[in-house]
Amino acid sequence: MRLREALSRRAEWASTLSIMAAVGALACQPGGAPGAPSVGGGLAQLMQERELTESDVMAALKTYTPTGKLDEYYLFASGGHSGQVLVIGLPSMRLLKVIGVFTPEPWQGYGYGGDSGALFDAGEKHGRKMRWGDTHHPALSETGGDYDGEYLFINDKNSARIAVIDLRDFETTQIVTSSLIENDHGGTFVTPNTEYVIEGPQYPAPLGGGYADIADYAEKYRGAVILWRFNRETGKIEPDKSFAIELPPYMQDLSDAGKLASDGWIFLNSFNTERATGGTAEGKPPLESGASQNDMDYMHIINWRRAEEMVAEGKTKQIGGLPVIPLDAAAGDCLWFVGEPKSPHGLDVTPDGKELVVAGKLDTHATVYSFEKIKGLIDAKKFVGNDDYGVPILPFEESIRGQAELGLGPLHTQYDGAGNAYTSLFIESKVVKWSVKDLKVLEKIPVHYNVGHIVAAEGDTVSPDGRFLVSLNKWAIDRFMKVGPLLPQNFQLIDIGDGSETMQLLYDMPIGIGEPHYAQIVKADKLNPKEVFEPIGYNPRTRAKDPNAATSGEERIERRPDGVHVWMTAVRSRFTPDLIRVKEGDTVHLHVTNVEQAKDATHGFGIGSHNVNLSLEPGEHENVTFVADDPGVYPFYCTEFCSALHLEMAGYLLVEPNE
Amino acid sequence: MSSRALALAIATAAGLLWRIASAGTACEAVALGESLQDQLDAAQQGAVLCLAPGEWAGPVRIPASVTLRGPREAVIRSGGSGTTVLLDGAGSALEGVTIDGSGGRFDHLDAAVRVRGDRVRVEGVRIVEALFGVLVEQARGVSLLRNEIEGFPDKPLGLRGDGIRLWEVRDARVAENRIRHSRDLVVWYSPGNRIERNVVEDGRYGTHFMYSHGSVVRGNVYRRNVVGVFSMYSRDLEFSDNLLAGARGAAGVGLGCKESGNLVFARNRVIGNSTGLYLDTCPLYLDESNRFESNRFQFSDAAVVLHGSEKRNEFLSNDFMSNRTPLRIEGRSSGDGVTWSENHFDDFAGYDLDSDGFGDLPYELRSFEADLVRSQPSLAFFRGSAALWLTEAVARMFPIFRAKRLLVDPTPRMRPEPLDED
Repeated sequence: MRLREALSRRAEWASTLSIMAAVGALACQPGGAPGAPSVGGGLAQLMQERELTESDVMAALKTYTPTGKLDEYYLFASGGHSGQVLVIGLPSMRLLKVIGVFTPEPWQGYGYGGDSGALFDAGEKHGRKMRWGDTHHPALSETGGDYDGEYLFINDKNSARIAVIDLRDFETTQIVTSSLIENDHGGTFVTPNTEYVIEGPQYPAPLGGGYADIADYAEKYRGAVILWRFNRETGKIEPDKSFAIELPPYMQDLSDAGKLASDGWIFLNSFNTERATGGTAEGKPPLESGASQNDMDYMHIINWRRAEEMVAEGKTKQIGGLPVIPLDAAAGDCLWFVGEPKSPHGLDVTPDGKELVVAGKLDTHATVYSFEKIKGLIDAKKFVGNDDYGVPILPFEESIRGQAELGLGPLHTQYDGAGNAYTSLFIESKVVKWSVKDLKVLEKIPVHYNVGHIVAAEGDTVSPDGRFLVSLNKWAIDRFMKVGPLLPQNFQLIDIGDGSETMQLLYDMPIGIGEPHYAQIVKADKLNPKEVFEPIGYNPRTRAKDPNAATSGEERIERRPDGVHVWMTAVRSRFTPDLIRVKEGDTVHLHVTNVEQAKDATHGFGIGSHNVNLSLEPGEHENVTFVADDPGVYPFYCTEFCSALHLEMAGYLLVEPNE
Repeated sequence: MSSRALALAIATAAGLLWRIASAGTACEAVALGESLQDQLDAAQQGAVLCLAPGEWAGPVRIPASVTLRGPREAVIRSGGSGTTVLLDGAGSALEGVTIDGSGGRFDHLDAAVRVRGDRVRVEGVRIVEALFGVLVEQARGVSLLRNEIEGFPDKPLGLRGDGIRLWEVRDARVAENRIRHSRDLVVWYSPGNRIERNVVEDGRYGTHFMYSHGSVVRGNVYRRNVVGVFSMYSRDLEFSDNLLAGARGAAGVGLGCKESGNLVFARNRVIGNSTGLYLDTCPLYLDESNRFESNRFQFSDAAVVLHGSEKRNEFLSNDFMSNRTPLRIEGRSSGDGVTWSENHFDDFAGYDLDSDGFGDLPYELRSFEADLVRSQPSLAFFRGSAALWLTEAVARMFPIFRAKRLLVDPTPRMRPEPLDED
């Protein structure tokens, strides 16, 4: 600090000193000081009563969002084992919605009758209906490497499924899966124009299902990264245009797509190149020990445009319904390896796409790889050898630009718009801010407790915003009131400003729903969600007006060979028809349309004892089919408050017994 | 001869023969120019081979029970790839020689010496310019004594290999080694080992424990490493009589503890580190506790840092001298779960009228939550200046905020313990 600055700062502090003395003297006077501004006096007293510091007050001012004002950013977080996606407003850190994805969600009428059943069935594995998911990494759709606010993708690690959420209505529109892999982790991530949604594998198994003993792990167990083709017009993933690449059984971990300078490439890291499989009852070290034996694992470097060509050239095998490029064909043609330190767990491409930051869980360094160097080594075929599966390995020291010594246990990296990187330090329980250019630590902030991923505003795009960063902490321990032994996770909102000032912790947000893993933050004005469904009779599952949409004045009940069909409308405050008579054993098909168009005029529809609940947003249509196999009288009613006469919005399902 | 005399003679002869056979000084010389590997492969059970001074080409494989010995001037040189010397079998040993280099592949764990077998000994060996120094995996009763491992002073830390690396090893003795300019001394998934009287300097982790219960770390000297010793997920550890000095890097810590319990940390000197002792969820289990006794913490920014509300930690009779602060607590956690007694704090402003050696008032450390330097880090420039001191003093005299109590020692010791001279 220069002398003039130093002197002027001293002057500043001398004056602050006298102010503090004055305030201190005033505070000691009984009844407060006459002439002191009432806001100041009231504020000071409030601060004292609630034991708040100045920085607490600043944090409150930066996050408090008064009634009528809206947040600036959407935070989409995985809901972890809830199987859902959380929608949170930033900076207020208020939970706005939990989108039903892999788990039935009654409020949204998701999975309790209705057309969502077909959606769940598409995600069946081995013929089993899956009714939960372990969601990890949401990915917003991108155009030119920037978020476009149109779609959100999310994975289920547990059973390797991918879901698509349409951000026009925040509804899940598709679940896809393949029997190729049993579980995933490096998903979802998207290529810069959302050509593909990447699903990377984790725990190897024989591809396509089937049995092989664990003793044949090295020969018969494999991973495979699936590139699911996305069609923006239809808003659907197209399995018949998707493909996969076979990978060695190295327990791949996270993925990221290259952009700008590295557009056309994807990268995955791995953590068990030792190919340890545990087997403690057989005298072998546990898996965690075996997977920690080596000093390096392999980053997988994949040229997906070349892989596309190879698929077109037919260099594939059909497994699990997908064309798969075999490992021996991929090796050296679209797949290469380079060493990465110590069981890494984060791979993040810089905003300009020129570099990749990899952090080793048990290392103190983040390693910055240069894509230009990697490409140069690949073009010159400069390798140090092959792995056991014939994949060429690039020389480590010639692939990197350098390493930054960050602290203990670096994991995931995000970026701001000022050339800074932010990396979570798991063991130190901190977030570190460092200069990518200078490979130097700038600042650290403690987080509580056990941080995993972090997310910065638009922090993995080509133009990050800076401003806010959220630390996704796994444990809360003593941050919140006691709620029994199972404690929530803790999102901590941190102000990172424009990157030039100190980071400031603003707010702790408990998440008591599932363990979120990763999140994405996008500017609110990039999304354009609908407020009602149009035209009336719109079915969000098929994204079109349903052929069985009901209209006011034309409601009816018809008996047909395949059962009783009811075309029903819902409007404040009645269902039409409101009395449904069927016979025991009838198959009942209800076609229900909410014919309202007013914002927030949602009607629910629940039938007692039938496990049916629908949510009908304005204009929405749903179809429910069930068998009335139990004679009796079953009230149905609107389950979502809609109007003054909401209680009266009810009817009866009358199932006549057979004589 | 009488039968007694005969018996005596036979016993003496047998004794002499036994001594000759097991002397170990009876070594088969390997002259320069001979194939070392052929001789090793042909060696008998328990044989000792002696190398003449000069250069020997690695890689070399020493079979079970065979000892390879030589003076410092016998240099086994790496061929540029792979591991240079493999001790491949129980009871093999390597003594006294110099090993120059190894391959450069991290992903192949290229080492100067790799140990595969129980009761293997590596003693008095000098290792230079190897990626990994001594690599020991899945072995019991190994001893690494008095070796000198010199890494790469000019390479950045992250591009060096580890000096000594133990994985799935038990009952090892790692003693009186000297490691410099290497990366880490790693003890993973390895319970019940003794790390004693080693010197580890200018590296990254002086010693890093993970799942290595029951380890003893005694009498070592750790200087100028990024972290002196870090213990993760380990319990029943003894750290005593060590020097942990000069850890001033991005994560400069003398002893770091994460989710480890039943630590006894005694008579250590923790000098000149950014943070002397860092505790994060230590101990982890409800039936565990830690004791820090008779240590000296000096010249740290913070002698002790608690990451959260750590409990069942006892600080007994330690000396806190010339640290910016004896204790910092992160995240507004509580220090109430830590007990302090008979510690010496050099900023204790009390008195001892009854001359019992302990202050008549308790020592209290309080944190003012309006901590100016914390919210305006550039003010740290003024530490020690009158203006900043005066501002903080005013805040203390006219408290707007109630100060939070960080630590109380009811019986603070007036004088520090004298240091034994080295």
